[in-house]
Amino acid sequence: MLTPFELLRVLLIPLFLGMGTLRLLGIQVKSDPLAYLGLSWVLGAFATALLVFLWLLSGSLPASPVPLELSALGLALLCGGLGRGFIPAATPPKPRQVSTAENVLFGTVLALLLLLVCMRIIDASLFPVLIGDEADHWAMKTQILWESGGFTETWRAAMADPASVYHKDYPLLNPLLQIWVHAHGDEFLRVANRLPIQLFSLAGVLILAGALYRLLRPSAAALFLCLAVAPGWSQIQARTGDADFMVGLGALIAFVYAIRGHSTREPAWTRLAFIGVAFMLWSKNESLLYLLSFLGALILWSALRPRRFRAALRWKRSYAWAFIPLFILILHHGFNRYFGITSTFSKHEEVSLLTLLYGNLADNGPKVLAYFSSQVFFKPAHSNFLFPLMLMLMISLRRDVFGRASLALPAMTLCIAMIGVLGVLIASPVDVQWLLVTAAERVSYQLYFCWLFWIALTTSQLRVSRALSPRPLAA
Amino acid sequence: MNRLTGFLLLSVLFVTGTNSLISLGKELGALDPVGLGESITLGEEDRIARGLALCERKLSGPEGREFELYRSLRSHSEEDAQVFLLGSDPLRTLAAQSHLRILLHPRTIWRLDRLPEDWRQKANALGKPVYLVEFDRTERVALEGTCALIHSGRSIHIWRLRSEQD
Repeated sequence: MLTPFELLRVLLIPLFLGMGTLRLLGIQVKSDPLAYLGLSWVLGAFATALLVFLWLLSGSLPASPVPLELSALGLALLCGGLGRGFIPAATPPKPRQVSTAENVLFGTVLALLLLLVCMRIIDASLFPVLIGDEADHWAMKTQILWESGGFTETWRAAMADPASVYHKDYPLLNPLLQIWVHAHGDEFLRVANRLPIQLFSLAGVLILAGALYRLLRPSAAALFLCLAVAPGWSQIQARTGDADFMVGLGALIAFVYAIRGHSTREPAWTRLAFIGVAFMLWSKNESLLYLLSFLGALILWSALRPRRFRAALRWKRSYAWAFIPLFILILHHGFNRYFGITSTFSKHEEVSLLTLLYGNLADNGPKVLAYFSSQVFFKPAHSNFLFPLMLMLMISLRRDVFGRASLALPAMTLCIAMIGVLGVLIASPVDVQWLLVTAAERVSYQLYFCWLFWIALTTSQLRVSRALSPRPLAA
Repeated sequence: MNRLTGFLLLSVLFVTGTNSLISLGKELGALDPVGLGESITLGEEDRIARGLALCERKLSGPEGREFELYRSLRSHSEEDAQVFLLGSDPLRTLAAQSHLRILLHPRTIWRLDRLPEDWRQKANALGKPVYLVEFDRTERVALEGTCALIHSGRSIHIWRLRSEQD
């Protein structure tokens, strides 16, 4: 078990590194005060995992965590210094005319929700990582890597053993963060190892709160936040060390800050959006489906609105930051290829996913659709009807929605992503009933926060309801 | 159209928002301060014991058996050991296999409904230390003589296969 001092180091060093990285992008506390700590944790965890990966690649982890910590602190100072010296900070948002009562309500709700998520994390720590994907996939993958002392021959042998761990091709961000925790303990940990992953739930609430507060009236933003934190899916994600929420969080950061970068023309937000994509891509393999969904939406939109698309194609310097997600994509797939790690889903007995989809459509299609309609889309306790609500808004406001890239592109991405999830489940080479029960909800709600943000964005941009939209900006 | 959409949106948000508030209120009200205190103060072994007991309770099995098994195998077996679980209840044996696989890694945990006829030859061919765990004494006759009993507890018996030289 970690001592309080070790626990503090495990948490504060990545947070500090995150702050330095944010400054390098041009973001400081006042740029987005509500989301700042959440963003710091996400970026810090991402950078920490990259550092751990480099240490492991260079041989093995040092016997003491101190060199690792010093390298993280050094990197934080370097990033912060470079940011202060060369990168202009993003302009803080203009103050808004908001009633004090509404602000107090929003603040109280946010504080209560953060407290609740903290309680979920603490309560879950009563039980160790024993069952489910957090144990079988993520903790096991970490344990093999940890006990092998890095990417050694022992690790290669374990990866070649079909029974050692499932889904060996899953990305390393989650296991690397667990390694960061283990590096601080005397023995292999079975509770604290999931803490950095659980903290993404807290970060998600802060980031969503910052995004909603800018779009909606504070009271409406508070209501939307409740919709985000209440569902069973949100509860489970705060309690486990699964990577599903990480995928959604990366997608949310990409979505929120790409929109903000587009509307404010501040390059800092676009840079942050690219980091969100990279974070998503290194979290879990579904992220590739979401990236392809975005590319599909881009192609569709370019066909629907060719002039606007051509106008938007103008090169901006901040687009160069796309090298980060590209680097992560190459790193992840190159790593798997180098070590001969293949996906259980992309190929099954040398048959491609598309062939499987075609072959299983008649058998699995009705089962998957029936399950989704009863357990995913229309199950109020979990979905809050958000996906159907999103479709309703898309259809009823189609002219306005498809006239704006900021609404059309995410809407199409989210719909194609859902079709993709359905397609993968239908094509699945394993028993579809088992897959539906064990994975369907978890995977299909990965983009839940994005659905919620899209609804808020549409409500705000199209002024769908006066009760939800903010009052005009102060002069 | 916009008005109707706005009305529908507000209606859905009102219903789902109310449900969410009720659910959040219930969750906040159900927080157990004693449990939260324990979450902070308990040692890792106690948490493992609790986690295993909770899983056993869910399967209506005797509590504490898996923890006893975990402790005993961890202290008595080598890291490259091959552990075979023999149980008459497939669901409970499967659960035990799944938990021990995580807790006792890098030991390999297998599950058998019953011992095959030529099990001894197969076990010796593995070239690694072999342990057999009996739930509810199903194979006692077959194991006595070929294995040494290293732990006997609450309806669990752990045997170590003697090597051919023994």
